[in-house]
Amino acid sequence: MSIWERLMRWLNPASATTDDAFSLGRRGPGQDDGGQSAAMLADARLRTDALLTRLDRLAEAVPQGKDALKRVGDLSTNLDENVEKLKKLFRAPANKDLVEREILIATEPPTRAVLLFMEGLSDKTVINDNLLQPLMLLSYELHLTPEKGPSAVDQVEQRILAGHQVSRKYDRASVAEALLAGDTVLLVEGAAVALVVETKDPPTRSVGDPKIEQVIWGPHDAFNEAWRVNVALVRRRLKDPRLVTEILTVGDVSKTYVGMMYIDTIAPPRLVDEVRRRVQAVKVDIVNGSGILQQYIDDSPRSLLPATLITERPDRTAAYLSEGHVALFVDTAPHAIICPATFWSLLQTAEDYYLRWPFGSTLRHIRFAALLVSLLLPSLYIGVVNYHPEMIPTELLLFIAQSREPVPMPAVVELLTMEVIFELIREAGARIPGVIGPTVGLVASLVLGQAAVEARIVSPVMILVVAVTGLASFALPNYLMGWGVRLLRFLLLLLTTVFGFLGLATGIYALVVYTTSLRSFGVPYLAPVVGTTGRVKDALGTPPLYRQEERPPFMHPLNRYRQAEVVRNWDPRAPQTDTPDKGG
Amino acid sequence: MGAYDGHIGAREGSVLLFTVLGSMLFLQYPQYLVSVGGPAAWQAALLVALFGLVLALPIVALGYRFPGRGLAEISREVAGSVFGPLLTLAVSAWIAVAALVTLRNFTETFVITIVPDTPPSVLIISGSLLSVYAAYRGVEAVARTALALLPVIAAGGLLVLIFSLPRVDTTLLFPIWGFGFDRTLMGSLYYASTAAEVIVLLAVGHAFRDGRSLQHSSLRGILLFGLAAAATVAVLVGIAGAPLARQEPFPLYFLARLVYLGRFLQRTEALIVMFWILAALIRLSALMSATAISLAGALRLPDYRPLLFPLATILSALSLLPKDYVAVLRLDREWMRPLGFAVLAVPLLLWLLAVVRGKAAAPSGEAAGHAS
Repeated sequence: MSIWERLMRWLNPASATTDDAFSLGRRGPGQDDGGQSAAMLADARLRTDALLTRLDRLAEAVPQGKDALKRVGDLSTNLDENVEKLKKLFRAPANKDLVEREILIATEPPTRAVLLFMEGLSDKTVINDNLLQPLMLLSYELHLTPEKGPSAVDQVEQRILAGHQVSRKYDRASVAEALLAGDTVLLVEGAAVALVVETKDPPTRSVGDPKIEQVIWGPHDAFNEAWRVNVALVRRRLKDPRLVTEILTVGDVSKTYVGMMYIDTIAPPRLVDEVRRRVQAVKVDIVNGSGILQQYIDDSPRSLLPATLITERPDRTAAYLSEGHVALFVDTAPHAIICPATFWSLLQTAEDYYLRWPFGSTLRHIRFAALLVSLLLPSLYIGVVNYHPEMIPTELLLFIAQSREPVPMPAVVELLTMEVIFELIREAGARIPGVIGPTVGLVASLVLGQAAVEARIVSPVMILVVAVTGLASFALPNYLMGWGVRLLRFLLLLLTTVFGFLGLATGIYALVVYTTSLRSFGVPYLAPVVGTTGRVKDALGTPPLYRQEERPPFMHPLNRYRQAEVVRNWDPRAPQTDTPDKGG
Repeated sequence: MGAYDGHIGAREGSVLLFTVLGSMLFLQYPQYLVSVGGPAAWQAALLVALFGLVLALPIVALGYRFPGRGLAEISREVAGSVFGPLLTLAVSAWIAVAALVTLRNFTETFVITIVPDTPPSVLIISGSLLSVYAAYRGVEAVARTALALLPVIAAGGLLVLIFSLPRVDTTLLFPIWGFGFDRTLMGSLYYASTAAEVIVLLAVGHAFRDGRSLQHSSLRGILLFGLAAAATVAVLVGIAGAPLARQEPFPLYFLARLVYLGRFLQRTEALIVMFWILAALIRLSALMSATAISLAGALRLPDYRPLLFPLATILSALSLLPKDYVAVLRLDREWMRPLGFAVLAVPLLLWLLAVVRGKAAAPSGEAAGHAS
């Protein structure tokens, strides 16, 4: 670069962006990335080729009947062509995850074959012991003399492969799907079919403790990221052949498995159909977790309160399934989505049922009080201090006035400042890694609170209000509901600041109207307290277990009763009945 | 209605009517009863409820005859496509005036009692917007909101009554029949049209699955209102005595101000009035929904929602017309209440016409299909 050019670049920084500088965007019509277009064209050609082949074979198979139609695919009888096209599909050799192993099956004469699997997703021990050894060594002892092509595939499938699940695939898309799921694919010379052997071994962690829904009294296992493990954890608790697991796939790129669980003859078929319909309607590139799927299937995705319940507890999921709910397990998400959910279910925990009913009911009342405190306390404080100080007992009023006297800010600014600081501490505590997170949070809250009071930025009463509000918000068992309540608290605070108790009342009214009009998969959100007929059970309180004969009526379960009318029939004091057992 | 509105159960309907009627207890209604019955105001309250139950019977009968139908559909079917909509329009006009009187009455009450510095227009606009919002969410949402907020509103009234009990002098409740049986009876009959708001349930009759739900809602709502009114005026008269109670423009507020349980719980009237605001909003939302639904039905519009905002704007503007609070009271007492009888005569007329002309809803299918 000449001195003149250097000088020009220094004087005009814009000239530094030359045509050879890297940019993802286009710079004029001549700057189109030819490589990208070629890649897209090649991909389209590959798909079109597969489609045309399938159409040709479909036309050929139509006169041959149903069985022939099932075997229609785009795989070739030429082994090299199949391997080549699959490698193209997976962008090999650039993509190093696709492993190709060419072998000779020890038949007479030897049969050429290729084994394909994805690195890291498959169990190599199974591949070595159950596939390669039988194919290359043990088959020799069988003295098989198959003809080339389909006959060889039959022999391999029925006599050599020791995999516990073997299936046949006839098109490249299915083969690719199986490979990406962790299965191993065997392609045999002369056969337009692939044998898929179950060798899945995706990286998973073991079953651990719940992180959010801990209990003192009850099981301590929680879901992990492998949805099959999660299904097994539930099935372990519900040993009923009516428990159905359907597999749905969402995400054009992620191809995420979604397991849909329900108990046939208990879950309403309309609910099952609706859940399936909503999941299948999700047309996106990627669904990476239950929180994402939840937003796609929720009745009111803009609502601050969730209309489906996300839980990490297998026992809770099993309990909901037994009431007629549907559970969704998203692969890679350590949660289940329970459909539908009511407002009251967000205030409940598994422990409510493990404890005796008076304790469970008390816990629920405490949580409801926590909800009210978390939502309303700051607004009530501002309403009283700013608009109705006459409500405060005189001594307390004088103390508040005295403590607020050195604080230069209005009460609402003081409160908002403390609330924001509290949220900062909470967020920082959650993000700081390891065990020091809570410690830092505690220290920060203590030090900041003390310092703020001494610096006369806030009054001691305000610290109390914010601390109690924060404590109450931690008592809410549902994480998403906690978020909603926090935001609603700020909205109500704003209304109260401007309009006093009038604003608070109007805010509460709008909130209740909104909540009562919400539905979750057709179920009123405030059911069973509002929107259903009959006695209100198992909402704000926990009735004794032996009195919970019926499943929740708002679920319209096919089988209304979950236990006999008199469960404690050994008890001479229990009312006896002649009616037959209605449980199950 | 074309849009999905959901259903109202018997429990929700009765609580809705109870709240619509009961919210008047926070206004001048106890004063009316004391002026009629004096020391026997609580008996007048029960008599009013009794007369109200009788007056509501045609609505119940219509509910059974035309299950899952609202006033607009019934009147069109029974009274024809010209006279029917006219009847519906007349009723909806009365409900609309009831809404605007409610709006102004509560506004004046709140301004005089707890928010003296707030311009009435702020309260009127807030109330109108919220009632539009609630009505927009559907009559089902309004009824369910009434049920959900019942504990809070009831607490707002009951706490006042319970905490006032120590001051009650039971001798002030005598003599029995107060100013005399005849005067109490006739006065109660005059105010029996207080229950005319039961027409709201008929206006939204399409939301009731069957006649039984409408019957339970109407009768239980009026009965609960009668009991609540009797308890309120009994405590009021027991504390203030009939002469003073008759002059008190905001009787329940008067009681609320007296609440004093030691130095810790004092001057809580502002907090209690907050609960009353909720009752006022429910009443306003129900009246707004009923007006819009009846209007849409009479004009054969597929949905009532587009009417809500214009209706609220008109009602808000009209509610500012009465020059002062006294004018509002006179409008309510001298026009609205007597016209309430005329409104209650409409279901009676429709029922008689239905009986004479042998009109009734199809036994099944149509109503169910409509409601779903």
